[in-house]
Amino acid sequence: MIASTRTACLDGFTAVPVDVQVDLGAGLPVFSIVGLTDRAIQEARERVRSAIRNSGLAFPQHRLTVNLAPARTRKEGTAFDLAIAVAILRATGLELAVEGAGFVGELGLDGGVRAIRGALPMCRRLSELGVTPIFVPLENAAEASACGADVVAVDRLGNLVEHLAGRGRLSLQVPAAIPRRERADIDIADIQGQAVPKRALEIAAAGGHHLLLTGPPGAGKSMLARALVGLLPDLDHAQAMEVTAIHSIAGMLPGEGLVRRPPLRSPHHTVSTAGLLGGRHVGFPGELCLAHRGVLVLDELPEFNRACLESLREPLEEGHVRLGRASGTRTLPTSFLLAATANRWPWGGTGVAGEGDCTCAPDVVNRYQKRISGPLRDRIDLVLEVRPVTLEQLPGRQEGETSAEVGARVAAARAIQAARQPPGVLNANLTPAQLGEVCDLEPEARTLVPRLAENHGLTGRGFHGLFRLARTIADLEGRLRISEKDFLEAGEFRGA
Amino acid sequence: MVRGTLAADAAMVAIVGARRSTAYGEEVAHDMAMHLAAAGVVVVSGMARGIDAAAHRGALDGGGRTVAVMGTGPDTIYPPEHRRLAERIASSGALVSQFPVGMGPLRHNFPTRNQTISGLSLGVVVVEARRQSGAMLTAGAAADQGRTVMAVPGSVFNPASRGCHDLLRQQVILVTGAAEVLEALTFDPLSRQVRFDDDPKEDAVGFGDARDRVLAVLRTGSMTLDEVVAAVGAPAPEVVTAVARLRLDGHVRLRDGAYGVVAGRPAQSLKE
Repeated sequence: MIASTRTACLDGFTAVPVDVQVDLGAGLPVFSIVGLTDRAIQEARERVRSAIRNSGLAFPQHRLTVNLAPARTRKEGTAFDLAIAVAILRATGLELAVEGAGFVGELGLDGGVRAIRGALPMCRRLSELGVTPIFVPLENAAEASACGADVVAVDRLGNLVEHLAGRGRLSLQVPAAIPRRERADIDIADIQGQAVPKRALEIAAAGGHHLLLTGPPGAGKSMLARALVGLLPDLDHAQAMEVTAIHSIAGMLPGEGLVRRPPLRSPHHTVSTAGLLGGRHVGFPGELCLAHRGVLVLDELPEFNRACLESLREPLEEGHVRLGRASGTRTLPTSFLLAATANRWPWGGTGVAGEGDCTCAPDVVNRYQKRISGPLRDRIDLVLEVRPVTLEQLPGRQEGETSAEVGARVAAARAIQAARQPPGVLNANLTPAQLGEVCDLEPEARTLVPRLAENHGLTGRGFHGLFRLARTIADLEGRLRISEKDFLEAGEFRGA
Repeated sequence: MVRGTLAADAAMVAIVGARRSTAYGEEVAHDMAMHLAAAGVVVVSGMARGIDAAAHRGALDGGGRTVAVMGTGPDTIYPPEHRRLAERIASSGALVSQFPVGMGPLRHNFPTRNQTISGLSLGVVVVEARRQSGAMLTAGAAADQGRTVMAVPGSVFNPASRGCHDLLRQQVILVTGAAEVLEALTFDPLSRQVRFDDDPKEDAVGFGDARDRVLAVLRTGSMTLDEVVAAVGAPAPEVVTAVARLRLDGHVRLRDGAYGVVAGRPAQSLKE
């Protein structure tokens, strides 16, 4: 007897529908699964058999063949368990109402249904194909329902079978999302002093400019870099869906719903290129993807290996990265804001002799500073030196603005950009041609710019960087035309 | 071998010092060389990184001549990043080498070169030098050759000034500026009337805005933008713009992330 159920499998960052077909035939009791499966799916035989038995149901003593169609698509993961179990039970003759429904979930030996990776993209794809309802693990219900799919949360296989047989009921109420784990967000009001770096963060957030903070250890570079995410506005619905899907694939959302705040990622400098770009045939999101629409903090930038640093170039410029692998070419969304930190000197001093005096030869210093290659450096609009705040510098307690106050100005500046520029294009992403269209200069600024460019030795890309920064500063002030002051301030944030 | 022109009658003073120098040392070397050059003195140095390069640049900025005594053959510029500097030196002053063509930078040649530097000069100013450094060798050679040895004091905590302080304890002449160098050499600057304007209080420009406060703050020492903002106590954008204007007009310079004032340029040396 033949029975089938519907499920889905991940294909990169999207999902494809999969039909589970079960055939019960005469012969010795053998259980085989075909359809280009990986180890995890082969092991599903043991999980499904035990789960069915331990749910008080009979496992058929027949020759049992499971096909995952289409058979040519490579499949992996544990999300097929539930669909396989239901299809087998139907094949044994149980009357189960599975018409139109979809199943995703992993089974435990005790018949419990366990969380999976990628519930959101799977349910979204199935829902688009008219599959309803979709039975998902309890822990994934909140994220899966975020895409508007009609989902039913399942805790145990036994309860699902009762539900499908029309007896007893699973709650059709989707459990409320657990409020997102309290991230250790740093409010910039918690950072004492540092008025100029804070201003740089505000500009970076407003225009989407990548940022590099240099300075001696203990200056507070990392804390500042981490505070950047708090200044960004909430994600809009489309962005939230993108981000939630990526985090769902990474299995990072147990019990949580839509991700509404921009993510913050800070990989250690020993990270591999696969760790940054994504591994396992690029099916598992890397740090760059996880930072999509959020902030990527790279502490001690020159310490990252060369290949990692160079792999940042395309994402920084294009907002995505195209990877060619044996399994095919994939485009990964990596539109993040880079907040990097670096020591100016390899031994971490201030460069002032006497303060941790240097024993490095000049060329050692030179080589260290050149690890951040020119092309990479060119893509970072804001470069700033940060020094530790001294006690005299602290003007009393808590004079600072909160992230919410600065965030309001950032949001206003972004609204100006949204009204003026093509959708999704922030000042930092403006092409030279677009830059010409949106940069209207005041007369004094016109005469200033050539002097400034000559004085700072700006060429090509650096010149455009200056314009982008000046545009953002003018937007923060709500100025239509870019003034002399905007250019002057921008010039000091280009580093030296 | 000489590239450029080496005038026999010119008064020469050597300014030498550490390759791993500080912003302070380079500023002193630059300003001293600039003022000496403006007074008609030819500044001699070794074209090394750090103090040497600052001295050459200062002399060129002062519109004077400068002589670089090379530790390599005349066809090798060392360090290579000073290629452009070498061109500038040769175009107004001279590149001098006592080594054969094709000789690269060899450790044992530099002390010989140092003796030539002191030999060419009336006096030698050591700006920043660690103990047991090339600059200290130059000072020793200068003393042996009967030249006037001078040293610039620095912070007692700074290892790069320790050699200078050793020299000063041995009673060499303490100098803090070009005027004192000339005085030590009892050198009448070719009957030119030169007014040295290196007292920072005198060149208060008076912009009538935040720039004045920024300059006042920066005169106490070089600092980062953030430190300037904290010291001035005005909103960051306003102070940053003021600093930017000052930098654009050449009153302030940025080095390794810290801003510092550019000491007063020589007030119009009257060249009649």
